[in-house]
Amino acid sequence: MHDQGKFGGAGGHGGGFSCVDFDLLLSDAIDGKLAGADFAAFQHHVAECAICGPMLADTQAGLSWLEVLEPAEVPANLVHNILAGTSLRDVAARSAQFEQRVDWRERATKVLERLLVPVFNVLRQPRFALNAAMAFFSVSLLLNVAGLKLSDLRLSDLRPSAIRTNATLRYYETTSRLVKYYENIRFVYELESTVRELKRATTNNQPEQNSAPKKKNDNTSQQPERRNENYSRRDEETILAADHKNQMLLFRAISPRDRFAQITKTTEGVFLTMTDKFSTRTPGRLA
Amino acid sequence: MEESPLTASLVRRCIAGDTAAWEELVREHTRRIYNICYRFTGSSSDAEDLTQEAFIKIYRSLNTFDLQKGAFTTWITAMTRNLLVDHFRRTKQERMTDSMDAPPAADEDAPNVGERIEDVKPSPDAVLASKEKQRLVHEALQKVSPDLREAVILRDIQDMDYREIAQVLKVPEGTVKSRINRGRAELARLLSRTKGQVM
Repeated sequence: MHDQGKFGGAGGHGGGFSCVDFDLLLSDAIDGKLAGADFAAFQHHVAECAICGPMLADTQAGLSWLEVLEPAEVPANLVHNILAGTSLRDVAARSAQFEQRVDWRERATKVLERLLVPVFNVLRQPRFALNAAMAFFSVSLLLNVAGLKLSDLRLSDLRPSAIRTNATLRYYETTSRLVKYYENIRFVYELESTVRELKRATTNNQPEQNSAPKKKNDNTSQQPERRNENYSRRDEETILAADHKNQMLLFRAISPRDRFAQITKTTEGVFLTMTDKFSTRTPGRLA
Repeated sequence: MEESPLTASLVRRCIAGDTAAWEELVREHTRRIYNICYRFTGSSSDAEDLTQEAFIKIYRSLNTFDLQKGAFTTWITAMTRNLLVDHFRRTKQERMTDSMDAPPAADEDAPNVGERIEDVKPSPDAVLASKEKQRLVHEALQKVSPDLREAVILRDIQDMDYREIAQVLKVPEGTVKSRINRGRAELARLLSRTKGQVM
């Protein structure tokens, strides 16, 4: 008698041939590789077993159904797509390897190009070009005014001490140039000539005033220096016309070179005082 | 299934970087891989995508293939099978492996597959009848459980031997034989529920 079969069916007869044996030999039986005693035992078991018999029939039927299936037609573009896909991956992989081999300078150049090209494209527009040209001319003009020539620059000029020295020299040169310029303009020239004429006109009165002993007439309020500070803030100035209580400032002008001119009115008359950085001039009576 | 000398030569050239060899290899194996995918998924579009994916995977892994260890055909079949398993898990297709006896709920009166096969009348156009029969078998195959289905496909559609199938599925040969027979029987039961035979 057979044991209980693998699939739960009753065991069949066949001289120790079980459902497990059937299962093991089923493929060989279907493939036609089973022969001899094994084949006989197999056939006997199939005939006797209520489970294995139908199982063999179903298996053979299923195989016959599957034989109906023909190979499916491959889509027309499939091979092409596969080749294209693998080629693209190949190209991508190779380009990635190439990127890794590229020198860092070239990579940096590429990155800069990517960043700067759009900026340059914008700057190439006429309005930006015009602005750039104006800025260039402005800088050139400033450099010329400052007396700087780029072609004269040397490496030694870039030392801090040299820069300081050059800057100081340039400052004084520029200052003196500006002073000369202002001295040569017509207004200053006319003013100075007028002052000279006034001075000359007042020299006639000067001996009388100078003849008085020790200039006693020059301080009735006892505060001439304080008033001078108010006018010019220069200690060396002497204003002879400031020795009256009711003195009134009528006009004051200061030239760029610290030249100082003021007209004051007092009870004794109207006086003009001229001073400059290094000298004090005697005031002259105007009226 | 023995490895042909041509395939072995092509593989060697491929590994050496020969683009033409790769192209030839693709042309030689596309039909086979596509059929495995098509019979397993039941969808031509899915099969097409999976075939491409399989070849891309093969292309990338070509350097790891060792001719001494096994046949190239077995190797690419195993890779394809792994891809199919992944796809199967992704799409949760096992939920659709219901019995063909149960018609869809929306169409209670629709005939089951067996009835539909029985209803197929001899057509003047034998080709069309054959196509219809193939379609029904193909649909029934999708209802077979995946473990059995892949074994049946590799054996009865791809003509692979048990040893190769065992390598691909990574199971013993006895298990392979058992799965194949159970798969065939399940397919037959699905198609022949009403004892109708359309042969």
